[in-house]
Amino acid sequence: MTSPAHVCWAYCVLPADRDTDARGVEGVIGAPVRVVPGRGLSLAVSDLPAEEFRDDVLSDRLADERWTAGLAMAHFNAIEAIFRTGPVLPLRLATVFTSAERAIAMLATHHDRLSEALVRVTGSAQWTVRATASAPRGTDAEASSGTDYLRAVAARRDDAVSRHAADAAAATELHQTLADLSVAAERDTTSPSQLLSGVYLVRTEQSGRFQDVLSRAREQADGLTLDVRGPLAPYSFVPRLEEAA
Amino acid sequence: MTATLEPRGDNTLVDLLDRLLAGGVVVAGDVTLSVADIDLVRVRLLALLTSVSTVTPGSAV
Repeated sequence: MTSPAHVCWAYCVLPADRDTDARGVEGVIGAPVRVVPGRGLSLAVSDLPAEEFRDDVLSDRLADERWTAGLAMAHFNAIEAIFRTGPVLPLRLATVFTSAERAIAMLATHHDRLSEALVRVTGSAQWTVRATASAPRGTDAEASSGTDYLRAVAARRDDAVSRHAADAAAATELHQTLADLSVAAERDTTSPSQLLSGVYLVRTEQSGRFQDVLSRAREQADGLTLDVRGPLAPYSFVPRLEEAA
Repeated sequence: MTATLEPRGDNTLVDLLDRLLAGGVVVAGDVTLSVADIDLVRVRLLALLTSVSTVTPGSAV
């Protein structure tokens, strides 16, 4: 039961048959996390003071970046803590219900698609991989004449062009290799400063090989600097149920 | 490689956070931020995280 003085902040969906102990998991604003069971699916939630999280108040409060940053970190950390004990479907930040009953009703509405999605991510984790070009090698040679200088500039430019092409090819090859080891993969090509920005859904038994590929790519030192995050809950591999208005 | 997030002003974490904010199941809650709200939150948070080297955990809430 959620009293009218509280709203129900939801973190993630989990299988109802999962024996989840949320005790000790800290949620947003330090609130405890509890698991409310539904039919076939459960929901991890915190009861938060309504006066702070009502919709008319929440939008305003989210304008406070630091408050919101804390909220986001706490939301993700709670999801990760629960994810470490079994499969979850993360919910978007600031999914709030007026009562636990309303939250459970939502689960019932989307039962089939949420269940399917949970089955799909069970036994897997999300990894994010970002590759950027390493700092250019070589230093400016001293030019003894103007012609030498221009020649050196042209050579450096040609080097940079061919190096970029080689880096881009290496990034694409790396993505393909990682995608082949994954249940699902998505590459974000909208950021030109990144050679690779990918998310991968990787089965636990493949995560060793997945990390080996990344280790080898690092050792090759072929111009890519890698940033790897994982294993994470599958934020990018959830069903698109509805678009918020 | 850790799943625990700490607000620090490094770009890779900003990337990660951006992806997390963009992800997750969208369901209609009783209080649901609109896509515009969420985008605004993302923009604000990313600006904060890129401009501040360290946000002391706990100070935010």
